[in-house]
Amino acid sequence: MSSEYQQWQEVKENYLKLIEKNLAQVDHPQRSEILANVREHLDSKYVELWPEQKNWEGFQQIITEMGPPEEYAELLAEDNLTKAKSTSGINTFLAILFVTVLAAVGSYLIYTAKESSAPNSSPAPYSPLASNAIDFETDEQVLGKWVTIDFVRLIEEFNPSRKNWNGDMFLKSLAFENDGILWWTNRDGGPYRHYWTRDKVDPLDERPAFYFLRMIDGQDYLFFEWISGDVTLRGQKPAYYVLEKEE
Amino acid sequence: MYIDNWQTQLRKGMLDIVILNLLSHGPCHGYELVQRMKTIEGLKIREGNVYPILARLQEEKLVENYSEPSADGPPRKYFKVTPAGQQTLTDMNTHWEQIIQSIRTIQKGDI
Repeated sequence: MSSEYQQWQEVKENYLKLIEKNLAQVDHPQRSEILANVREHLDSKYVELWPEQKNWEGFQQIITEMGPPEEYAELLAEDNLTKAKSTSGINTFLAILFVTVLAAVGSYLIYTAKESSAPNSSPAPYSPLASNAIDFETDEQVLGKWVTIDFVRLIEEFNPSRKNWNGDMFLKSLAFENDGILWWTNRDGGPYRHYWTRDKVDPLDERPAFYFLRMIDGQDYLFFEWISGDVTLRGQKPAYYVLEKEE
Repeated sequence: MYIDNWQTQLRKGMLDIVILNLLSHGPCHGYELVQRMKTIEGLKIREGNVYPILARLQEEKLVENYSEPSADGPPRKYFKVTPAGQQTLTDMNTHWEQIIQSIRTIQKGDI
């Protein structure tokens, strides 16, 4: 076995392992088939390389062209979004365009807020609400700004020394103020105003998001329920963003 | 930055209809499908994106696969559109035309 081929095998297997790790977070029967297909694709790419391209740069170029490992899980997880929104097979793109059209004619729709299970999904703008509509009870421990560091299916899954979610996370931070206001920033921007009271966020929602504080190895972490369509439409248990207090 | 994100989301969302349309012209294997998609200007796909979409389409019984011997290696897996997939594609293409038409109407200010 040539050293170049050996190097290629390492690059390939590392990439496949990362995909596998990300896919493990999505419940889908075709996960192993995706891996097999990607492996076959990578083998074809290698065969097509010219001899002078069979080096580290050439191998990295192949991986770059394949795309980030986390995208496989994201694209597979979009299946849940599609199913939740429609039984007639309308794809995500059509949904996006549909919203665009409706928005353009002035129909301000609350649409995407909690429809997707992936942590990269966009929430809808939170509807305006008088903060005095909430029977606010403060929680001294949670006051202040928290920054997202991970995303887990179960609280017990979180390990401070090993990141569980390697993709870009949608929720970036939560800032709890002592008047029931919560400032929420995400990948698309913010801060957006939400509301909170002890133990829960958006308490007037049909299904508020609960938060839980845990001390692990002397460090406080906030586990924030992600209320996706899987939770509101299909009754599944929520996953959690993990946040730590900003110093 | 905003436009980049929007284009990325748009491209990802288009993959289903693009793949189904390409496969409706005849079966092909994943690698060949990617090569054909790369020739479509503006699509700028990441090659790996195709496989989760194919997995979803298979799960929905809109696409199926079969293996055929290959001259230069192990059998290749080919993908083809099922009759249900063909019907869904017809609906998708119709809906697509309606969406395009709606956007054109809005762009012209005819509302």
